[in-house]
Amino acid sequence: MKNPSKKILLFLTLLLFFLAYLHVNNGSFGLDFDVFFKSIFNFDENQQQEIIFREIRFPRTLMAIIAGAGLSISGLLLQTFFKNPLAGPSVLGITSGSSLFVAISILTGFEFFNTDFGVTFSALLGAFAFSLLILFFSYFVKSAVSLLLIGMMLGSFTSAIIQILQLTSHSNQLKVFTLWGFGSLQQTNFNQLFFIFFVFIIGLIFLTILIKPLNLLVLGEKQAQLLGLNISSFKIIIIAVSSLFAGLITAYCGPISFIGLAVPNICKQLFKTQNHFILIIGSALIGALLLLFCDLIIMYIEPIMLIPLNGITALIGAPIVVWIILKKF
Amino acid sequence: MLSFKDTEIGFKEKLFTIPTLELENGKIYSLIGKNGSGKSTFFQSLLGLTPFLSGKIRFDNLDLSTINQLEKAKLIAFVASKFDGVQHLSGRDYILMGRSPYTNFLGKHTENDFQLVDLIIQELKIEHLAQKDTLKMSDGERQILSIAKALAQECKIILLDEPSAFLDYANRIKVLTLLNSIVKEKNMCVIQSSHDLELCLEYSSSFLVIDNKSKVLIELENKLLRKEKLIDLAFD
Amino acid sequence: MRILLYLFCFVIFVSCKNENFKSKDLKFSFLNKYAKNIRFIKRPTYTEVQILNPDKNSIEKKYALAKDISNLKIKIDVIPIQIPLKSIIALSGTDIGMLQKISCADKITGILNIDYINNSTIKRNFSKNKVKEVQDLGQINPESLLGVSSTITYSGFGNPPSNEEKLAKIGILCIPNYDWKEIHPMGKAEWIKFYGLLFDKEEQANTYFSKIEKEYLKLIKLAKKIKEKPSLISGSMIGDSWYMPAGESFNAELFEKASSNYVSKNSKGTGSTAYSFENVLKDFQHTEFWINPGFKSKKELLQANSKYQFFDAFKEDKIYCYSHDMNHFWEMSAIEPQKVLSDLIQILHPNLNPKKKLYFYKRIN
Repeated sequence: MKNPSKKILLFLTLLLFFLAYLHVNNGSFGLDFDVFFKSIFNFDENQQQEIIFREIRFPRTLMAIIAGAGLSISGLLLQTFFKNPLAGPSVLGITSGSSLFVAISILTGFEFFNTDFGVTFSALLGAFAFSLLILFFSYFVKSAVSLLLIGMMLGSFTSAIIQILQLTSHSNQLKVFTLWGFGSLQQTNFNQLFFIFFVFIIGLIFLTILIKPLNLLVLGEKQAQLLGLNISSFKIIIIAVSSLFAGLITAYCGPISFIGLAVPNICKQLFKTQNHFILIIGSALIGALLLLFCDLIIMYIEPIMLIPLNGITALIGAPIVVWIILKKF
Repeated sequence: MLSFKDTEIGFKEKLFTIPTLELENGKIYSLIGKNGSGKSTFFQSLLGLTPFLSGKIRFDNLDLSTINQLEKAKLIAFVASKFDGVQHLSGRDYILMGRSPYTNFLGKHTENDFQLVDLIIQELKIEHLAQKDTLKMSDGERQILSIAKALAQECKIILLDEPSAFLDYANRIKVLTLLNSIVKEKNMCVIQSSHDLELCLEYSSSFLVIDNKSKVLIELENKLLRKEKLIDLAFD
Repeated sequence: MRILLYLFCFVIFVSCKNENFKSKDLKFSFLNKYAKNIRFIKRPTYTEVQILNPDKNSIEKKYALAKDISNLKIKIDVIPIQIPLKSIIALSGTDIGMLQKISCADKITGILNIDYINNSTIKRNFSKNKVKEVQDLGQINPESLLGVSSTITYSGFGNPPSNEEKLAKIGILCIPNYDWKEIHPMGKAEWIKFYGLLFDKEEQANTYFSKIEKEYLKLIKLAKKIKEKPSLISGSMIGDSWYMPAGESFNAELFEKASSNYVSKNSKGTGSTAYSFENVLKDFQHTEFWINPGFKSKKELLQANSKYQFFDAFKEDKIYCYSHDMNHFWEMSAIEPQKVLSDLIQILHPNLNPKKKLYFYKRIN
């Protein structure tokens, strides 16, 4: 690893701790490390401060980090796979597909789909299905921008279906589900964090074997194959891992847009490398930082007005997308 | 030594045959043939991307049909006619990709890998390209890098698909001179497909011509050759 | 000296004018007791009804109600309505309850959605195809209303519906209803007088109104004597914020009259106030009662947000809501405010009258 990359990664890590501290600290009282650790490891449910740290602050901060990292990694994988800097889980309609599958599965009424495991399963399946759909279209559509447009159409289509389902369904559960169409980091409970983290780690483990294929894929599939890589089996794994992260985050936070698209591009500009070992770590760090930053803005502006999460990510993300297009095309 | 026996080359239909052929190390062979005669298909088959329709192909004592993709990558390298460069991919990093057949599943480069690549950079005198962004290079510079990457694969055979097609005259000379010196020093077998007959006549040891009438591959020594004969055979 | 004379004349002049004003005043007294968004002005040949938009502080619609509208001399902005109406499409919900109280539920020929209906007459008529489901007013196809009724009441939202003109062209009148914006519970109920006028049941409407007014005032007096003011929270999380009725809202008014300490009573506005969950938990975790969370079981509550379990009201089963029978509440609560108040008093002070049953509310378990 080059030295400047190491330094930047170290700086980003320190910055992450700092922003995480600001985030957990924000609220009606400041962060007291003793109370905080006690609330996690030695919870006394009669202590109000402990309840607040354990159930409100900690899940929100951890989800900001996991969601930011997960979506960025998903976006990075998609961008390398499709050789398209405009690819991302939300712009390609993959997070919408995730939401759709969750909505439909809730409607079936099976009790399984009301559990954490059931919701995550539907979300992952939806993400994977829509990823394959986009993959299918990519064989016919060579232009980067055209694929993006198809993704947006997929997104609009699924949003329309979800809207109709919401209006016509009497399911109370579905009505509750619809609330995170805005994207939210505050809908997870402490108990759910274990499962989320577990799935996230599984994704990271699979990522390690994808570093080499991703590095070679920048030269194209043929070249990668000629360098000894069994590219067809890795292609499916790349799509699967990308869907895993996108689906996991969508299951617990709703669809969050622009992070998966903007962050990998920022990362490549910052590190100026195609080495995916650095890019994966860098994207995860920058993604976590960006989402913490967005949520901090929401927190600080709350007394004046309430801004939904996707509002902020769009405000910051959209100019970045424009910048990418201007640079590239 | 790369040997062919009763080999048929084609995609769905037979394009041409090689009854018998032995390619020696230390030589540059120029593959000549009409457009569509099967030159690319021949390379694809050698590289394992599409099967030979029939025949026995061996390298020394090794039957090529028995080795997997990874082993093949350590044996044969391919240089495409054009590399468009990748943003943020430096010259050195690009060459290092040639070491992929030897790296572990994480793709980690060892000290050996770095030393080998740096040596190649020195030999080819492309130190100025090592840290440069491949996207910002000229076609000629990228072509040299692609050859360097092929060298990094430490192969016995290098296939080049119309290496000078996108290069200006000066760069063409540069590439061919380079190939010549490599072939002699490293005792490799180089096959290049080309349409630039004059340069081939100057630089390559032998010609492999796809006879347009008989659809058979014929080997011709350079010393005895005239351009007219080549054109006659290949293009009718 | 001359100045005094002029002053004297001036005073006489002004008092004469006042005299005139007063005599005019007597003929057109239209101050309602409680309702602020509707005015009834008895004119010689018709009754003028003015419907006000409270947000814009303007008169949104003026109607002239008369049994014979053929020769009415009215201004251009007043819409004539021939009474009594033969039928009506009632889209608000509250209008249904009011019509029921003046025995006109059978005149309802159109509703929004049968699944939201509580009234048995309507349900019966619907199964006999005498009542039709129409769509939301903004999306309605005007033609589909022909033959159903020529009058629609709907909950006003500040602007006329986009196809109001089209509907008017085929003879269908849309009347906005702002009872939902009345702050005083009796103000909401007072809208029954409007329906009374529309269906020529003025006396029945007034009698009913006086009756419930009496009961309501009786309850107010009773509650005033109660010394205890138990604390209560209201509302629930929607998205990332907890919405509670603001201090000047209709619900806050009811809570206060039922003798309680409503945690958000000092907040400004007549709508809802938004809080972060953390703030609600921190400041209101130990509130005694939780009214109107919008769920009908503890299980549903937890499914929506498991953090609700930390509230004392949850642990001690002091959560009350009307969600187990929403249709009944939405239809009848506006016209039976005395029952709503009675429920609240009963919930907050159960020891006053232990055997009294609840009309709308139920404890959530």
